[in-house]
Amino acid sequence: MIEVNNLYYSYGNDTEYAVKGISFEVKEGEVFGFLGPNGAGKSTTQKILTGLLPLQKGSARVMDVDVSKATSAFYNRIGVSFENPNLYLKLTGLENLEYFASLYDVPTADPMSLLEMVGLKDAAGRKAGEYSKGMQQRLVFARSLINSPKIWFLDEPVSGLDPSTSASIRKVIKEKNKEGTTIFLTTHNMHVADELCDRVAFIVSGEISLIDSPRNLKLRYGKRLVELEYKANGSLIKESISLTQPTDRERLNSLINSEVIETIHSKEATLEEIFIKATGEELK
Amino acid sequence: MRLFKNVLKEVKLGWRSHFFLLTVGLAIAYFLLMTFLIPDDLSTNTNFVLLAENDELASMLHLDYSESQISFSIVESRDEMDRSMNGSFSSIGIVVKGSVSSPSVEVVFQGHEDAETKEFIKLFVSTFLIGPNIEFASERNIEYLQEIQSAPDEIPFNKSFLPIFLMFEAVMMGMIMVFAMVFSEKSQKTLHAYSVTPGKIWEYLGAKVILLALLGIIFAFILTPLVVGFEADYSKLMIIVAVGSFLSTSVSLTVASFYRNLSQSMAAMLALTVIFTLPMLSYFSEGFSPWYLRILPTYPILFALKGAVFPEFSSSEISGLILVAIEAAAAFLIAVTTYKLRLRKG
Repeated sequence: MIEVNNLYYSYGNDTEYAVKGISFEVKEGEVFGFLGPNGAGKSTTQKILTGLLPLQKGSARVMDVDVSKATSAFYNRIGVSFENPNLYLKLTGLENLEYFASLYDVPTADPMSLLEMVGLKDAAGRKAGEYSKGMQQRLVFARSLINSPKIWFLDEPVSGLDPSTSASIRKVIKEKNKEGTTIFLTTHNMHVADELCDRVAFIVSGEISLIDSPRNLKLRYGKRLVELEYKANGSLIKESISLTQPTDRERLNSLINSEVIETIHSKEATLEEIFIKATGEELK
Repeated sequence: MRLFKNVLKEVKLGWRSHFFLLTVGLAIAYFLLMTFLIPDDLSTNTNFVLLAENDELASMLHLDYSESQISFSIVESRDEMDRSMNGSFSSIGIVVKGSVSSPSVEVVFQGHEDAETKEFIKLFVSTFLIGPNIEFASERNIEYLQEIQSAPDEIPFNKSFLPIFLMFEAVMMGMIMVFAMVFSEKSQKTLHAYSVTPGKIWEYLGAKVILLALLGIIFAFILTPLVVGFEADYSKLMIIVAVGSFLSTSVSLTVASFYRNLSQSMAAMLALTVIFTLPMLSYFSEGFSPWYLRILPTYPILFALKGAVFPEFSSSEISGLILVAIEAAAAFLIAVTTYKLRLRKG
């Protein structure tokens, strides 16, 4: 669905590249996470893929369309959710969706159903300028679904949302993916990426350093440990035990058999830890 | 269809930004300004107050002034002259003394007259004492280097501002409102959201052009009937305002695209306003119409507006608007191209 080869981009049209020769591919029906700190080149890449920035060097094809030659047909099949709410603040939530729905040449979703889906049904008649930032972000998210896109570009879709709203947005993303929508997710939130993405790419300073599934990355970079808490001689003891060392495995068995264990957790590496290990950069 | 939806959106936004209220308010404000603050006659014709000291001399004053443009009044006493002059700031008193065979004259000035006026009065009085040459002053003996209009220009001074206000608000209303709209949308980044839809830039900008033409027409159709009633040629007026608005909005859209906010663009906006309003010089001083004023697109617009609102005083040069319409279309194409390029620069 998306093919990017040796893509470069410079805002000053010089050799100060914001994106430096990146290549990747996103398969149909996949949730592809593009992860990196602020200023890494995530949004620049997404802007090139959606035609908001020109293609300077390299190639980028979305749904077999060269993005530098994107036509109306192309925009009828993609959806873009921006990180910063870009709404008509003097139009109501419903009017915003109705207006954007009128721009498409393909059948569009019912605006009220979309508002209901993101929990804004009761605020449908209120001006978007009166919404909280979280509500505005949900409206932008709903707007990006108005044309039932084949490829959905999401830029930090849960950034700044409260946990409950974030969970409902993540649920919608999973549902749309189940329905067959290919998703290109740009985020610096590793927990979101871990939960939603089939594959992730780590991008730092405009370069991709790793592409794989979260599971493979954890297996490759993580330590196979369990962390447990147990009572001994009246005090609580915390211990990490390797699952690969024979002596540690025996010790774990004996602790389980002695029935003193109070808590036990597997201790695979988080994506964030892997990111730091793989790129040497902190996520900011 | 998409253009219509864009227009509908712009009308809603314009309504909620009080653009319509502002338009109606300005039209009424300009009407009140023209009616109550600007006088209908700004001429400062000097009124001569004449006094003869005796009856014999009084016969000298009873001449035929019917062809004269100068205003005279004859008084009977010095007190009456003082009262008359105190009531008219531009009056000058002339007291004829002595006898018919040897008259002398005392001229009474207000005190504010300049040296040139005083010299002119002295010359006039000398001529008067010799005896006015009525034959010379007759209209038959006057030759005009330029052909004068068959109907004299009798547009009242206050109403003569109507084409100016129409050009300034109806035609150039776009300029200020476009800047406000563009910068509001820049801060909201709504054009980015529009750019990832199948909507075309020309439809997006075209809707703004239509909204501002609509506001201009509303302004013109409120102010014009209030000032001149039904004497104006309203179909022509609508065409002129629409074409003028198309031009100024398109130019403003292009210029506004180069700036990030209103304060940054202030110098450009003012420069554009000054340039576009320069043809006012020719309007108020008809003999002054150098090429650099005539090439400005607002020049034919202003005079076409004059022709449309005062059809009995001025011919309506609507044919000159064809070139303006072509210029407006070119400006719109430039605006569309500029927006496409600037949008893809991020």
